[in-house]
Amino acid sequence: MNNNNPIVDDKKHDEDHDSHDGADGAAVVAHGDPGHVDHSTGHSAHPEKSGIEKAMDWYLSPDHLIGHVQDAHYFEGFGFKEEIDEATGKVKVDKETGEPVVSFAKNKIKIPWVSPWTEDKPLIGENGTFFTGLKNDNQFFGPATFQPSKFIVLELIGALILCAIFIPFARKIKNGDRPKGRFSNMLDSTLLYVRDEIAVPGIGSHDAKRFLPFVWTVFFFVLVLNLIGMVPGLGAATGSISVTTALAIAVFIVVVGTGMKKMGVVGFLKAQAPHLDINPGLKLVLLPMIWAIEVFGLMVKHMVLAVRLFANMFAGHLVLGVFVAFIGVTWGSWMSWGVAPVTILASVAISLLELLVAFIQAYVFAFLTSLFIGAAIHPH
Amino acid sequence: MLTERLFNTAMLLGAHSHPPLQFRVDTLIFSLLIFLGLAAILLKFAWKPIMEGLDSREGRIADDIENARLANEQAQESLKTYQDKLAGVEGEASAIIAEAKQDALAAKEKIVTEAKTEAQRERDKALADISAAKNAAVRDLAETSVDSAVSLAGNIVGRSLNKDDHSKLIQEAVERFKSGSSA
Repeated sequence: MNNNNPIVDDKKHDEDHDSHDGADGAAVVAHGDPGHVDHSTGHSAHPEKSGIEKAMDWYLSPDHLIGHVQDAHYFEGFGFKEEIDEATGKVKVDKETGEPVVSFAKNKIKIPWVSPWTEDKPLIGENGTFFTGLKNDNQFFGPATFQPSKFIVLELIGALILCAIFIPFARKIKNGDRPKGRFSNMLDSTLLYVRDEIAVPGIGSHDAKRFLPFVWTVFFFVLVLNLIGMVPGLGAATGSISVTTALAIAVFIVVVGTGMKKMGVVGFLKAQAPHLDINPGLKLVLLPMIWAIEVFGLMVKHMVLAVRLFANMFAGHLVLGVFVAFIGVTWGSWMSWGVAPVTILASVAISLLELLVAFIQAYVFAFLTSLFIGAAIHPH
Repeated sequence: MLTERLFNTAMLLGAHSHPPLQFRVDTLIFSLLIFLGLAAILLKFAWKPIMEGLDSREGRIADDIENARLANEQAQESLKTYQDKLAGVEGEASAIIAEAKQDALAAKEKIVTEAKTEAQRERDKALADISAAKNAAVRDLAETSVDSAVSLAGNIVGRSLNKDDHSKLIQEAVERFKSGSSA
């Protein structure tokens, strides 16, 4: 990972500490403190830069901003941390006891896991290659170490929250009793909304009931992950293309499986090409091409499903990060008195917007899922 | 300066091939497994019972609505029956009242007629009694007057009238009295 930020050198020990996770390099930088800028290194590249310009370079750098919204193998928080001697770059040691000096400070809470694979020696994708051994210069595919990341933990938490909410709720209304209490009524009306306004219009009233559990799961899983992302210090798992792709793959499997179950494998594949009422000779030439385009379009549709959710959640959190970064940029100068209140108000406004986006994206994902299933069942 | 920097940052972000845009097969597989596991758990322990509950509730509501519709229809029918009955009763009552009025009128006329007849009869009887009494009184008066007159005349002329003359004189006096009173 390229990183021109001078602070990286200062935090080299942190980066070394996390060297098993190359993808988290930016996040390591993000946890540095601009107050520790090494002016000797920083000025060698840009000797004319002022303090605020350097702060901007630090806080508004893509690595720093993205570091706050990307996946990692730790949570950002507070904890006990070994103090580093800035002069030597080594861990401070108590002269009397000989043990490292530890203090309570901003720290990474690592996710414990024992895995035989590391970032340096992953199961798949070693040395920037992926599957076929072809060189993957752009790192489009990351290495697979099968170590749980922050987003995986958040997905598990989201899944547990859904189980904790809906399983007791199901027991309450199983016998057809009406829901009691505001929260139960809210759940009930949301479930009915998804059924009546998303599943039935998309799939059709005849088949909607069969796919309703899947649409409910999609909607509430995306929603809970989006809402977890609104909690400071955690993260939006739906802001990762890997997570949204997994959801899109699940939808794709259901869509294709449903289509094939209804029409048969050959029938489903044949149904992908529209009926052409043209000259047979021309049809023989055009039909394969159109079929290939339609099948490609089917896959692209599902990929777009993933990209749309990822882009919305990722961009929203990035905008929030940029706003908050303004406080860091102006901190210590007189400008912070004006910038900080405005930034906080703007962050609150953007957060409210993000809250709306969280619901809208869950709705859109579930609605498109319903439409794709409906299209697979009723191809024409 | 700030705007320029933000623009540059945005451009960098747009072109950045950083981990958020990087497919990580392990994250993808974990996510897929979590989602499918969640879907399976919720299907068994949440969605199926919820769907059963919703179906049961909606069935009950539909039954309630159907029952309410039937009850409404029955009520409408009952209302119509009662309204018809009420209308019949009203007609019957009117007829009874009209008949009663008619009976009352007839009774009234009968009573009045009988009363008039009785009154006329009483009047005639009274008049007859009066007339008889009058005649008796006149006869008595005439007889008495004649007796007195005869007696007086006998005394005057010195002879006595026999019985036949006496009766004849009385008769003539009565006749004259009658003709005189009627004139």
